[in-house]
Amino acid sequence: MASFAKLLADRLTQRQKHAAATPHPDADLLTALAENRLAPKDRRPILAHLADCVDCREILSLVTNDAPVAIPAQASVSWRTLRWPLAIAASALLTFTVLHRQTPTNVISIPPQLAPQPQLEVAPTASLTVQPKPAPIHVRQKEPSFKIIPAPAVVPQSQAILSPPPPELEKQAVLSGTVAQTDSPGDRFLPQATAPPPAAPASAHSFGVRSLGLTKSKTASLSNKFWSLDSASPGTVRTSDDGGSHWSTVRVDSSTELLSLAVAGREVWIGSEHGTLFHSTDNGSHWNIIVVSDGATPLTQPITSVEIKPDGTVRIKTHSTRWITTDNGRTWLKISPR
Amino acid sequence: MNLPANDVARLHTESGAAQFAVSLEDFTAWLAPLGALESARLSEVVLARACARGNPLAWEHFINHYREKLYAAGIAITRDETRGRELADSLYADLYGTRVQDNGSRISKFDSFVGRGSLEGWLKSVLAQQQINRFRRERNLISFDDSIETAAAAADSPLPVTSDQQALATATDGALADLDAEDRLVLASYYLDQRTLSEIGRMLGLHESTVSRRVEKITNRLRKQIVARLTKAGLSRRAAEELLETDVRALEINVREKLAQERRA
Repeated sequence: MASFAKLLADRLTQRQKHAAATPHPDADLLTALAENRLAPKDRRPILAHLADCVDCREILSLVTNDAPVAIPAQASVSWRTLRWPLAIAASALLTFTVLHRQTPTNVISIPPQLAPQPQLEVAPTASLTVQPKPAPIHVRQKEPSFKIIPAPAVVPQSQAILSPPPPELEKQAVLSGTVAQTDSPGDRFLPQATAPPPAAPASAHSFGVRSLGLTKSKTASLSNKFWSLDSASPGTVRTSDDGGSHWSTVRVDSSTELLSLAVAGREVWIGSEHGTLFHSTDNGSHWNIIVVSDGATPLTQPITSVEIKPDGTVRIKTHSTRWITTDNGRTWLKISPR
Repeated sequence: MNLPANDVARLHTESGAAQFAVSLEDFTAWLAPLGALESARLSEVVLARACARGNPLAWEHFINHYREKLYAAGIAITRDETRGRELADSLYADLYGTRVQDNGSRISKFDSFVGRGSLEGWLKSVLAQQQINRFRRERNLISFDDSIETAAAAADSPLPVTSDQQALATATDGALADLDAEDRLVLASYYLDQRTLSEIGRMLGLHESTVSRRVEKITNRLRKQIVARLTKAGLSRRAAEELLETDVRALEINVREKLAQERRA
């Protein structure tokens, strides 16, 4: 299929070169096409022009694909993302539990003489710290049938049970016909962690590139490593390891302006204005200078785009040429010269 | 758009034309060449025309509502904050109009907005055109080296074209010409421009899975049509299929040879 693709690309290029010159659609028509506001009879001739005009395709693509370079992926679950929902959920749970315990309700319980003492309690103050009681686990024999009775007022109104016994003990109790209690420590809430982290640089999320590799763990979650071109300081890029809260500057080569960036895992490729490519395989600790050449003349045009494909192929674009390498930049193939 | 006088007067008020000191006569004249427009589009056309006439209130309104959008679009297009802002700022001269007609009136870019799409979308398109024009200019400036490079590359690889390969090229060209314009656009975007399925989807207002299915469908149809055309040209079906496969293998060899030459050089 790949070679059939080359045949098609070759014939489409020839067709484009020899296509009858039709006037470029104006911005108004292109906008209407992009916004799907054209009638089919008006749409057809524009599509025909676009099929044979690389510049107009580029314009349409720029207009319709104008999202910021990097948008933090929805799949990412970071503390920054969850801090407020978690705080709200914790508050809601606490409120619900307190209110629930204030009102006597019918619950499945055990006779008072065997009623367990609450072990996991929340202090009546505003503190969210769960205070486990250092008592051992008690397992008492009891007749296997439970009765539905009003819950005994074993807990002060300002206290609430936060955590049920661990499932394994519940299971054990059910299997052996016993009731289990535990003093196992519950979760500890840290109020200071809910304070908003420092603000990220204004442009960090707009221009950063999120690393999609497994840089932090071998889980399927996305890494919080961000990369960003730094237009204020030539030859440098900025990185953030905490999802954009803090940024540090990485100097790559101060003699050139860096124009394009692509990141996959620990691998980073950066294109410069003089056609030089910088490659790091260790998350930016070390950089290799890659000279892009078709064997005769090295590339000296600005590299406006770098792209890493899932198969490891790297594609770069200049204003007039495109290049591809399948061996980490050792050899390059110039494709579809305009 | 020919409307009764009452409707024109109502639209004159609703579109904000009165706010920008546009007379009812001028407004009527503007309406005449326009097709049916949504009221929001009409307001945008009025704003654009009022800006074109240099109305300060209209410019204030435009700056307040579109300045940041223009910056955002410029940055998204150039993928660089400084360049994006510079691109957006460079548009104001054209929007205001620096050329003057014989009658003394300025030629404003705003005059070409007729409200087929939104004003915001139009501004994005104009910015994108500006960016491409810059590329063209830069390409012209650096084209000498590039043309030498391209010519040298072409001279290095004068691929011998056999009659069968010529027949295959003719059959492929014919099959491509028979395609629907949108299908050809999808193929050109995918195979020539190397755009992703989602990019093509956004260009055409389609979901990327729809684009994926369409690429597969068009490609399969093209293969069949190429074989059919070769058969019609006198080849047996088997020979036509073999030619297609042979040519594919030849292309692979050519690529490998070219890479090997480059390594040797």
